[in-house]
Amino acid sequence: MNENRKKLKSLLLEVFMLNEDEFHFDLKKTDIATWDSLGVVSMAVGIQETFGYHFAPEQAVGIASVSDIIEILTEKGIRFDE
Amino acid sequence: MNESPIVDWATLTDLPKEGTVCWTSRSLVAFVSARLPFEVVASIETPRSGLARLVVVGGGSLIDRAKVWRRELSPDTWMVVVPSLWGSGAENSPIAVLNEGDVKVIKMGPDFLPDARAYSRELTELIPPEAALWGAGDAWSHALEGFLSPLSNDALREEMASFIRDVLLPLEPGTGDFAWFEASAKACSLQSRSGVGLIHAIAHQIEPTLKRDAKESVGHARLCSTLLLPVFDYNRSRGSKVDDLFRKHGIPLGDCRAMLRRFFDEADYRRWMPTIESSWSLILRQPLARINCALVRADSLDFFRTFLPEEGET
Repeated sequence: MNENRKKLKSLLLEVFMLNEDEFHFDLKKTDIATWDSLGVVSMAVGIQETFGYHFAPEQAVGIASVSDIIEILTEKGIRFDE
Repeated sequence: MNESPIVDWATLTDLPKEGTVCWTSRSLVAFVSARLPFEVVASIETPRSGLARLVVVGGGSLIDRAKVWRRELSPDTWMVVVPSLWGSGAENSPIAVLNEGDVKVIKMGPDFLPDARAYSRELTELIPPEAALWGAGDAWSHALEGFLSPLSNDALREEMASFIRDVLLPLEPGTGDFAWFEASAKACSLQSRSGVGLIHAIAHQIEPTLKRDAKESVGHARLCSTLLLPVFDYNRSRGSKVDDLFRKHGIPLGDCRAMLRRFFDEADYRRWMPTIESSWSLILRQPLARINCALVRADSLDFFRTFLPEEGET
């Protein structure tokens, strides 16, 4: 697995308090009970620490899936391809 | 409105005796009875609902109970609050923290803000030096966590930075300086517009556990005072965000850290560590840990286990 994918997976497991077998890269916000307003803040803080990218609050609230996170970070030059 | 107006303590005696009750800590019943001409209710009891006016004289816990009492049982009561100790700033915030069994429950809303607050210089003289120090640490924890909160913004951070630079840093902790009351109230009011973080998450989680398992009754202010430094260093260890924000808003980081060092009690910290360790999985789930300025992870506990106060010297 691409190193950035591993980092993102590890981060989201902690932020959303998921077990490893609950996680896949197609997860949507609606699949995760802990993807609430607190989870959004925690995710934004974690992504800034891990990838150096700062989500604006309105941008973080608008993210609806793990794919959205990857798409935004890819646009900033962070690579997630295998 | 997010601040309660200040009224002169001396003018409280002008309130109509009829319909006014004073609710106070047990230890202050004699003090209050000698100075205010109202019926006095001690903190172990609850005032009757429907009062015209309630004067609350006590610490943060009693003030928070009074806020909830007023909102839930007597919403038409006009309430003035006189804190007996600085630190919590409860007299000036729309937040109430309640103990429900082993859990701290945070309630927030404009109805919790008292109608007025007053300060007594005589009460200042009754504050023991260690409580004065812990109260100052509590105020610092509100100011710092509010400033660093990811829920804050540039304008609010600038207001908080100015407060930290110009008000908090020059104030000597551990002294009976009356100015600590107003500083604490301001710190609490400012943080209520963003949020607090890991210091409060740990404090709220371990306070009831220490009491239950270690038979150690440690107040919130004392916990926050000692947790200030390790959490500050932890947040700095996670990246450049803290240092960048201090630089951007002109807060002298070295002076601040030196101040936090003065609140740190290493013996307390080491004694509480087993409780922090056993509570860590619950601390991670605390809402306040999830809005800390740095991500708090399962392995973050290693930082706190091995924390040495001198390592982060700037």
